[in-house]
Amino acid sequence: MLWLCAHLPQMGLEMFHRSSAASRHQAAVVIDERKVHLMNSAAQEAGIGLGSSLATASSLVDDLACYKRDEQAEKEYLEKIIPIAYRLTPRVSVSLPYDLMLEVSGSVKLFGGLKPLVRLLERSLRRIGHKTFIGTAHAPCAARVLAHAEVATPLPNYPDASVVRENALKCLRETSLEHAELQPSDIERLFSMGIRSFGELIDLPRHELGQRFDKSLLEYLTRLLGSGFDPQKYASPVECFQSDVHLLEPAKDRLSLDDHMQQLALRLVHWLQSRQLGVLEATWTFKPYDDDGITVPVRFSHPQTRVPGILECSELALDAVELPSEVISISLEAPRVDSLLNAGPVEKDLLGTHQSRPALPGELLDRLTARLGVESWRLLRNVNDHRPEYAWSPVTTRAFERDSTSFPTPGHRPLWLFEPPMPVKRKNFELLKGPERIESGWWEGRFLRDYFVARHESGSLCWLFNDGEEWFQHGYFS
Amino acid sequence: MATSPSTTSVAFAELHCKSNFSFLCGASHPEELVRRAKELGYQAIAITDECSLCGIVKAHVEAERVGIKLIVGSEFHVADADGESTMHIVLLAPTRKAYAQLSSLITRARRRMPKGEYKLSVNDLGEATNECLALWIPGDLSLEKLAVQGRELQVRFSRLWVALELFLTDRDLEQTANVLTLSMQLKLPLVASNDVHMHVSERKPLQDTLTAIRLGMPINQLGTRTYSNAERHLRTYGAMRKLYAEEILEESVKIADICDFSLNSLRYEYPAELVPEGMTASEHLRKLVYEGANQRWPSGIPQEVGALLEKELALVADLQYEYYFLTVYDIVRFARSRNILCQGRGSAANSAVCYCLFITEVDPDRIHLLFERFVSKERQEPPDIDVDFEHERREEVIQFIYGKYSRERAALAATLITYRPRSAIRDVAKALELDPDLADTLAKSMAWWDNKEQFGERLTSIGVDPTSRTIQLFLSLVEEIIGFPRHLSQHVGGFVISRGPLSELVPLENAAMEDRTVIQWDKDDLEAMQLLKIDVLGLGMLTAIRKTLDLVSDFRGLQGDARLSIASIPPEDPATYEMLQKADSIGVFQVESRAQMSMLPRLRPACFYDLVIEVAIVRPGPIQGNMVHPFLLRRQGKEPVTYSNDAVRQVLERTLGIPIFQEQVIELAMVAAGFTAGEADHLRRSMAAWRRRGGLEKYHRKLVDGMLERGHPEEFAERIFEQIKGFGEYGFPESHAASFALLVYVSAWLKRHEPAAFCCGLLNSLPMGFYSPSQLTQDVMRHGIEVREVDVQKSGWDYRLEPSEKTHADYDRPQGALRVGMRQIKGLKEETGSRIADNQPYEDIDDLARRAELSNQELTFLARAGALQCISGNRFQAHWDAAGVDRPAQLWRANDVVIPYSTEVQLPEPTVGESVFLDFSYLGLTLGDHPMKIFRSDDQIRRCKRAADLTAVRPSQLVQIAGLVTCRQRPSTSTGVVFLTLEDETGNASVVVWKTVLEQFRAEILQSQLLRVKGVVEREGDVIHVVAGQVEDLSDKLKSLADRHDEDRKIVNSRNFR
Repeated sequence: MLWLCAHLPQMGLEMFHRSSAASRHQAAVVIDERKVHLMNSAAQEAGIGLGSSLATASSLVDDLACYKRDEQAEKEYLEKIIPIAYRLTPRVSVSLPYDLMLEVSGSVKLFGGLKPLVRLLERSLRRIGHKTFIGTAHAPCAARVLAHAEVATPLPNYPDASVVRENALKCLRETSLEHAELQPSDIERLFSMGIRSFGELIDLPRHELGQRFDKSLLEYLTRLLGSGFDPQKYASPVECFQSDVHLLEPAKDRLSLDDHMQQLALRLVHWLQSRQLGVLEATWTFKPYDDDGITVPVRFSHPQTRVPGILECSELALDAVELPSEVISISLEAPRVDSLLNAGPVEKDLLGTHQSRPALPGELLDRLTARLGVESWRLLRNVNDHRPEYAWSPVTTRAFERDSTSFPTPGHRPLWLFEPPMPVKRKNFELLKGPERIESGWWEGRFLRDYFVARHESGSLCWLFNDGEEWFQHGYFS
Repeated sequence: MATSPSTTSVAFAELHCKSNFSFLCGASHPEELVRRAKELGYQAIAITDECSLCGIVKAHVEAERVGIKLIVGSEFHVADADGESTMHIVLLAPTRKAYAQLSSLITRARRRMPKGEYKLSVNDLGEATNECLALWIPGDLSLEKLAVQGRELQVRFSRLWVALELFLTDRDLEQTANVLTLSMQLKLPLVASNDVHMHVSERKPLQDTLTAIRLGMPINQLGTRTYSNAERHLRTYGAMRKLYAEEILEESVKIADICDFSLNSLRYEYPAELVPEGMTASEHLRKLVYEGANQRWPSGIPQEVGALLEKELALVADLQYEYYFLTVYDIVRFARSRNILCQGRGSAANSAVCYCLFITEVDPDRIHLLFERFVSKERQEPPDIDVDFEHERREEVIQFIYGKYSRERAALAATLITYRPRSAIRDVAKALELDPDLADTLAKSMAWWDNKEQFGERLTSIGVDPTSRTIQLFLSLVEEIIGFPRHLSQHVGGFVISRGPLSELVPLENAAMEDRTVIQWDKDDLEAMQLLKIDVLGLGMLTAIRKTLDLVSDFRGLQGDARLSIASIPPEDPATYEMLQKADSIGVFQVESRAQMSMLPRLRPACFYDLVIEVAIVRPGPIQGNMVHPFLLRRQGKEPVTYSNDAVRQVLERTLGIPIFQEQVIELAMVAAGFTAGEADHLRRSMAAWRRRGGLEKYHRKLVDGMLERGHPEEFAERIFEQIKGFGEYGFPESHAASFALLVYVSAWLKRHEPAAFCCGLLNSLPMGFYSPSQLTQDVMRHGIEVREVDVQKSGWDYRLEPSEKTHADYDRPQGALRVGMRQIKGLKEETGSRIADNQPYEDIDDLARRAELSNQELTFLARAGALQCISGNRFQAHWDAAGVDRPAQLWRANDVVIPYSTEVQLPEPTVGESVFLDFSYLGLTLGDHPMKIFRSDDQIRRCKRAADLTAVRPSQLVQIAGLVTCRQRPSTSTGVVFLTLEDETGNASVVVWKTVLEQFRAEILQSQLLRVKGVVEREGDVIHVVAGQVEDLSDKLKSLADRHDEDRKIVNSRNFR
């Protein structure tokens, strides 16, 4: 086994703050729980220390670039750069927060030896902006210690396993236990017994250590020496649905595309089913011989899982575009998918067949969207506000349905509101009920109105208000 | 909508009105409501905070001032019989008896719930509230349900009204119909009221903001959780006439007329049991005072003392304060019977009477304070005695009070927690959804708030447009909300004790601390109501002094009356003053701070009154008033002592013509600026509260003009005003200074003559004071006292005094050696430490583990702190061994067959550096070499002077010094200066860093643990500073301390070195 650990000590900062020539001189820090977690050299020169408070740091540097640590984003970032390691070996794993682990015994030959391989890894990571230190050892945890301690194991270009182990252990012996992956309390105890390096620890009789420390320490030592089982969870590439069909002879009309589209949609549905997903956006690409062809996006309001549903909306979307006269290849991608947990129940009858039923609003909306575009429709919803014109708002998604909370509906309100309210003459109306005074929303400007239910000369029932100066009609009661 | 105030009275009284003491709900101060009601010509106003009488005293004081009738009441949401819905009622107190019922009801509703909450069911009403008047505000329920509720109330209240409250909403019609129907159905009279939340409608934004803060939501998401309009304010009669019929408005006046209870009729009654039967309080007090006087002066009471006592007793009798003195005496007597040290201070404490009652030890012979100066007939304020007790034993005193008077009759006063700029900014910013970082920046820069003119500029400088609408709103809301009460908290120790049940006088509620109750009034309310409170406070120095006195007496074998006590410490000891003049004051009460230490050699205290001044002068008042320097000049004879006239001479003579004490400044306002006694008294009250409420500016002009008129220079007048502002932060009257000065003297005497015992007493009373155990032990070692290692065979939990062979030329009696206590060992519990001490000595580590029942972990605590070295060899080995003795304690007892411990591992001796490092990490102090001594031969340090060498350096000489940074201080009273204390093996050196140097070396100065400073020596007499010019951070040296190999990098937390 030949393990490399690529330690990216500044990754948490570099992922935000690329060290361009311009930004290199700007002090930058990553803050975790209001304390400095990482910093660049400019920050260090300014006298900021790791663990100092944000207040201290910003008092030392005027234009401090400050980022908040987000462990989830760090994890995602680390996973995103895995492909760089993939080029060197399929056996790659991630060690949070800032390490990539590579088992390279199988690829040394391919890359012309260990040295070119390490150089390539280093260079690739540097190119995307990362300071890297690479530790080499016979076991993953040993490689990690050496990488963190920035100790390079001297090795020949084509080392065999026993040489790797011997040389790595020699380096490890001199390394301070502060880099050990043990409980901080155990490290502190070892230090206060005067045991400070891996060598001093390794030399102690195991059974006496066992009396004094948790068995995890002994297990760690075993893994470190390469004699224990140390399973790694290898990463696999991120998946994304993409499938295409190349036609033997060009399709010249819509009808002849149907079968192929059906086939692609079916592949998508199988792919979705195996992952318990539904599709939110699908993209069709229809290519002729000579150019890139045309791309047709189809969006769904709910995660869609059924072939007819996908095809129905696709057909509508195709109606709105002009296809190439001869199509030689069709492809289907699914750039946006969502877990089925968000899709709501699928309606089936007792026998499991789908009920024939009137189109659900969701389906109606999908069809409207496919035919007329996203901008073609609006839903109205109530908004919890005293001011009538703020008490409702148009929305284009149905997402609010899930989180809408109940609140008391305001009093007697007309169905039809004027936007904006219409100036009227008081004398044309007879006031029937009121005033209802509404004085709210001061944070957005003065709003003080006395509302009345009034009858217009013509007999219609109206909603009037007086804003202290003038009279307006705000709506009609039906 | 603001409406012009009416000048004539109208036929209405508001009976349902919440102030901001309905926390985060009402949006006006009670005073504002009362004033506005008067302006609008109301006949009366009831303040009816929800289940609370917190704001009633403030309303009462204002109502008396403006002349409007105040009705006492409270609003409740009461669960109905089936517990399904609530009823909204207001109870009013027409009589003293009804008041007692109301107060008791609030107490009951609140005591059964956690702090800040209450619970009431309709079954709590009835007999217990039959004297109260009730208004019922029917809620938004069906008529049938409402009728049932109405009947439930009807059987419980003989005087019940249905209240109609209309707010121009679309429910008004329905509500009116419901109320009319209920009134007819149940034959209940009708009255109009308005559920007032604010005094004017302009407070609506603030009211919404309070709602947002209460619900923890941003304002723009509150929606219908806010009221739809601003009608819940005190409306004009005209506006109400449009809503309500004239008769139901008039009905409110009829109700008001029934109410003739005033808070003035509350008479505080002292606990009666303090006076034996057949005696008057006056006779009893006189008897006790003369008994005490005979003890104080066994050979006969001096004539002038006798005269003073008579004068004081006459004054006390005249003002009827006998019970107050008797109550304090009773508590102090209890403390003395338990050997709990205590000391009174406060306006009345430094009197001959208190001296004879053993409330204070400040001998009237020593300090000629005039009792009258503190208790005056004119001021009409109750006397004030705060009693400090040993901080570790204050709880015993509190339990005594609860035990003697019961929880029904004794409770703590409340402290009102109000919005300060910082909390106001934070909460309002959250409600307006302002950027949290911006709010943070604003909140942290509090100084900005004081200077409103520059505020806009400052905002611009951090990139905020001060003219933007949101910022304008934000600023005005913050300004309005500052001073608003947020919640009640318990006063540090102010007890109110009454003759009858306290809850009939004022409601009680639960404090956050378990088993503590507080009354709903704070100390201002108590003062306004002339209720007496007794402050039972904790003071760490008293604990240390008592422990020291016991240690000395035990160590020297003093028995009975010969045991050392505060009273037996010889007064005016020259050696003690000599020590203080050299600023040798680490550990001494009050004068151990850096600022005090630099004052001591300048002021050179030589008598008790000098200490009184010393204590009072290093305070924000005199410093901000720029009084310190002039005083020192006069004291050193460099400036003549002059007075502008005789009146001023009388006020300032005892302080050489310079005002030092708070009361001097107030008196000066009278004699030099023409304030009347009443005005001066208002000034004194405003002074204490101006930080919270402002209101000092109006005195500024008057003070300056008054002083100019009377021929005083303007500059002096301005300084006096600054001093007044300074006192607002920390008022310091002469009487407090005198009581503190006594403790300064006592602790200084102990340090001078019993240094080992004093240091031991201090170390056993930590945490208190300024210094860490490391600093205290180093100081005592520098004074020639032997300090011995912590040792599992010899140490107690506390530090101990052990006999020592060492002779001391400096001391007139042999001194013991100080044995470090196990309390110093990191991680070890007191219980474990005591168990170890009880079973000493031990044969070996097995024996220790078995008999002291130690777990493996406890053994390692001992080992790494170095306490096992005597039985286990070196510290590394001891730790290894201790970790190996890993058998549960129970097994030892069950089976006495012991397999002796053995190991094949031999660990090396720690180096000197490692030992020091481990000492600091696990013991917090070292008796080995000071780290600076270890570094002394290093190139970077070799040329540095040691702290002790600085006395031989001439002024203006350029020197280098280096040391551990033990103190870093930026006084609020100075601009941009930082003071550092650097500690080395010889002592402490004081470094001054001016602003320019600070800016250059900011990181080093703010963060490093070990500094080298190049600078110029500045000397004034014995006060030596190094004014820093260049600074270098050598903290990395500390990290190398624990290294055996230089190339090894180790985890060292340099913060351990403090």
